[in-house]
Amino acid sequence: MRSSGVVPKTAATLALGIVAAAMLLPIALTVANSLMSELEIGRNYDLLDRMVDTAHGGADAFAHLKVLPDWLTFEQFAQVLIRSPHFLSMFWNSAALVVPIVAGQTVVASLAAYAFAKLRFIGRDKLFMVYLMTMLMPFQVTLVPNYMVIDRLGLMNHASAIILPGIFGAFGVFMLRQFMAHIPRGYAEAAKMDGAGHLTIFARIVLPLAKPGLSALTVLLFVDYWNMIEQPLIFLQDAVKQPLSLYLAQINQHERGVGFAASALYMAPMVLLFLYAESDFVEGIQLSGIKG
Amino acid sequence: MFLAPSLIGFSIFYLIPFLIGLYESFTDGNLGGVFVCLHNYRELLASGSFRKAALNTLLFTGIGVPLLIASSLGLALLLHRPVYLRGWLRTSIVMPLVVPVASVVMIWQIFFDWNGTLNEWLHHFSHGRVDWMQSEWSMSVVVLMYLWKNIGYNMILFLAGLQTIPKDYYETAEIEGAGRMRQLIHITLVYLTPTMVFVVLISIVNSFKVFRETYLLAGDYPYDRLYMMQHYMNNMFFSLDIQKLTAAAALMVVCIVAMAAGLLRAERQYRESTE
Amino acid sequence: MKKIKFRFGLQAACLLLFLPLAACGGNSGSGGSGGANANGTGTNGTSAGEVSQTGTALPGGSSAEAGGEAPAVGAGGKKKIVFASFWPDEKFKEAKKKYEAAHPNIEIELQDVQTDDAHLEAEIEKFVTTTNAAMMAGKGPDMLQMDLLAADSYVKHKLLADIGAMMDRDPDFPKQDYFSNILDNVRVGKSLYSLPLSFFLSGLAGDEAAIASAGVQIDDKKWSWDDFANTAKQLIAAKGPYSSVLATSGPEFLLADMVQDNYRLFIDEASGTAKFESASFTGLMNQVKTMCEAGVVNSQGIAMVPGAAAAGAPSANCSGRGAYFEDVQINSPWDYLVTLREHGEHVRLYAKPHAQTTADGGYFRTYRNVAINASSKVQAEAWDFIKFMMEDEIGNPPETAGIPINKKAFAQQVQQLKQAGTVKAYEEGPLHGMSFPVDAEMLDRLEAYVEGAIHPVRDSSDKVWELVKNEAVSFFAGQKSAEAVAKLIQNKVTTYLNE
Repeated sequence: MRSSGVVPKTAATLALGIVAAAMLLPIALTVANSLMSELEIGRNYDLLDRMVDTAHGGADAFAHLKVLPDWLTFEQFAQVLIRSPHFLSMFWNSAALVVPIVAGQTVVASLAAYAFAKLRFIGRDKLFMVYLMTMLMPFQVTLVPNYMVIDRLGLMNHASAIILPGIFGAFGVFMLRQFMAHIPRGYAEAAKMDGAGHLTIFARIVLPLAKPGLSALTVLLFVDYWNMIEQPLIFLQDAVKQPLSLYLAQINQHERGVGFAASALYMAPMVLLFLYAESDFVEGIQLSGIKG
Repeated sequence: MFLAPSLIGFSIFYLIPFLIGLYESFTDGNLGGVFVCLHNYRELLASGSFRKAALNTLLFTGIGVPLLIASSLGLALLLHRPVYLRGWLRTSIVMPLVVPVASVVMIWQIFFDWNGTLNEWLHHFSHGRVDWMQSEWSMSVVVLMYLWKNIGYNMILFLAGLQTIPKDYYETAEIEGAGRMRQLIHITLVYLTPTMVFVVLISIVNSFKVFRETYLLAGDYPYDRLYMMQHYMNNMFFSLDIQKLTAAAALMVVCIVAMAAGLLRAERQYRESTE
Repeated sequence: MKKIKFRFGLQAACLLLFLPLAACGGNSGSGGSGGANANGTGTNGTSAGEVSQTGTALPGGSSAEAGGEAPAVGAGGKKKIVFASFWPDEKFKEAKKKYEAAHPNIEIELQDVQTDDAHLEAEIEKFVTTTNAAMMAGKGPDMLQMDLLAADSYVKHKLLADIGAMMDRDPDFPKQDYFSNILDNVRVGKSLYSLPLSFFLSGLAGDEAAIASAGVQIDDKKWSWDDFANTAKQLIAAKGPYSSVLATSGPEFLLADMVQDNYRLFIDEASGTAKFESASFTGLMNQVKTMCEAGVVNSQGIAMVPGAAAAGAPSANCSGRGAYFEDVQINSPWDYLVTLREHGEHVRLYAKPHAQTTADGGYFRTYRNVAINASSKVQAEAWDFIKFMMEDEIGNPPETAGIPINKKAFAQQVQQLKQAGTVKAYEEGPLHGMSFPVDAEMLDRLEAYVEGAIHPVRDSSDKVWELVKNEAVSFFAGQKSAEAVAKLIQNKVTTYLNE
């Protein structure tokens, strides 16, 4: 362990602190605004997206950025939770889509990534390239063919129209392959000499070593799929089946207050996940420990 | 075999649609049209708006991605060192990832609207207003949005990558008398190569995703400088011009794949050199 | 060495790509989505005149079903027609019931979207996206209400069946019963893809008495915007009871309309160039602004800053009061009476001035447009249902939104109003549910306007119109210069034209 003095440590903390504050600002604003009444929101932001005639005081007309609400009110939350009952059910829809995707993709992808990183077979790198290509495609391109495929499989308007493609996404494969590529070949070869099969090597050596990658993958996948908009929009027409991300996408500027409150609730599970995953990030696996 | 489950699902949900899409870029009319060879591509290249979109996208990626990678790597390195409140700082920086687009857009609007906060400040200092989303500033605004949203994403990746570098490499280097800079270049960056490859590509993919925010803020025909491939493709989608859409995507993918191939080759060299 | 190996790798990857591609091409041919495949080669050459080969008794059904696939047969041997609209529509529901009762072998499934105001925009976008995706995948409903969809693009990509051809072929179709000025002017070339079941008139409400007292003669059957401008000068000079000539929703709307009217002056579609960064465009902008400031046009438009509206002085954003003319839309014979009455007692309908370069005639806006999916397997049945709906307009009360395309239905509504003798305005409207006598002469005049409307109003899907309107707001609010706005419009329109 390299030692660090107090001064550089403080300097680094300060620098990071400034960045962190800038990063947190929009979140703080979201939460603060969610605690304002619709009236206050209206008063503050009414002038956005408008052109005020200069003859009518337009030169001095500005929206007001306000961090602290005049009155704290949970009116917006009540609006979201009580008066639009589908909010909660959409919340569960989201969970029911995202959890299987994250779990499934992590498993499927770690197997595939192992193959790409550690096995030798013909066309391996070319196949990997193909995986990469599809990952880079913007969604509009494959939308129509995807529609045909999903329709043919009879999955239209069914949760698995989202979950199955999610599980087989190329993102996890690519990411884990990169992490497994880190792992020096020596470990696997040593194990092989001891008579271990691929399954053992995968489960006992590669997987534990790729753990930082796995936990990062879980977090990123969760975020990606929690935020997905396009796929459920097209493939789940039934309003009752749609996830929360769509509820938010539909909020327009006429109900900013509700939007902020819904956003605050929407962020909650991801924030919790981050705080939980934090423990996994704390210290990485010390390769040296295994080597010895 | 390890690959089988992934390969089957992947073929059904990604490869086949991708190939159908590619096939369409060579046909006319909708599905099952006549094969017209490169006609769509010729038409595409003749389109001034496509060239504009390609140029703007290139510019945006050229500025945004290096900036993003440099800043997120910097943050990750700082966070990898001993600092106070490390957990809190790390979580805060990652936070923008959780903010939904709807909320992000409302907040950016508060800042960058014609009657927004930034203009209010300018006004306060007796400056004229700037139409942030409709001037040469717009690209900077979008780059800023992109950085804000994705720094955390890349930082997670870099941190995970940094954690897989064995600590004793540094110890050995220190004993051999290598300075900080040398350690950074010869150990950290070298061992981060696979992560770096991944981060570069993901940053490019994510750079397409700012489109949603841009679209909500500036509409389908934004300021000239902001008109990017995503706008082009989106507009083509809404005018049902699947041929141009797929052709444009195919060209784009060719570019990215060429780059990815270069990156992967660099990575292979790295692997061969470390083994 | 490595380089060569790598090259080979790339080539192999390409090969890998194209091998399944070939297989896939075959796949999408056989399996790929019902009638869509037949459609590609089929409709190209044979859009009109070909008799369907499936042996359906009814004529119609262009060649999309030439593949010989059995029509969609629902439970119990019923044929099913899926009809999608965005808005839930009582009249469609009613028509479905009646039609199903008369044709026990047909089942009609209506699909619509339940929404509220807050989510309207998002729901519309979703409706458009999903419908586009489905249609492009060769799926989608058999019939669509086109009002919110990009009909032009659908037509361009041959996604819609030619109703015009079915109509022309159908010996049972009583062409003379329908307003041909409408049906002929919504055709694209010789074909008709999106058929309006009803329409609105777009015109001007004018204070006839005040105009007469100002001693100004108007021939609104023929007038263009130029003539209107002359009339405006005379009216202003006469110093009549009103300070303004035209009340519009806002100067930006007027500007956009004027650009529309002089489309060729600003846009050269063939070369994809726009000419907004020109003296003639900034001139036009300033002209509209001057007209506002001089009070020639005004709007009771929303005052932007609360309180400031009370000032009432004519200003750049055209808030003033009182004009000889105001934009109106006539939704039904009943609405004709009520809307005009709402504007005053001596108010009559005038045709909207047209662009210099177009033929004399008024404007209409189509409503409840229906179309048939080109890959539908029940096109003949769908056409029969459309025909039924066109006939079924008869008997609708005169309050029904939309002037029926059916002449008899229209005549009947007018007759009904005359018989009733009085009409009662909306409770919530400015007349507070007042009843007033029907002016038979005034009603008779309506028919001439209905038959004289030959220009379809371009809707907001018209990008150039929308871009001009949106960008011009900041100019009229005095926030940006004409040149800055012209430059933005120029750039955006150029992008649009060259996509």
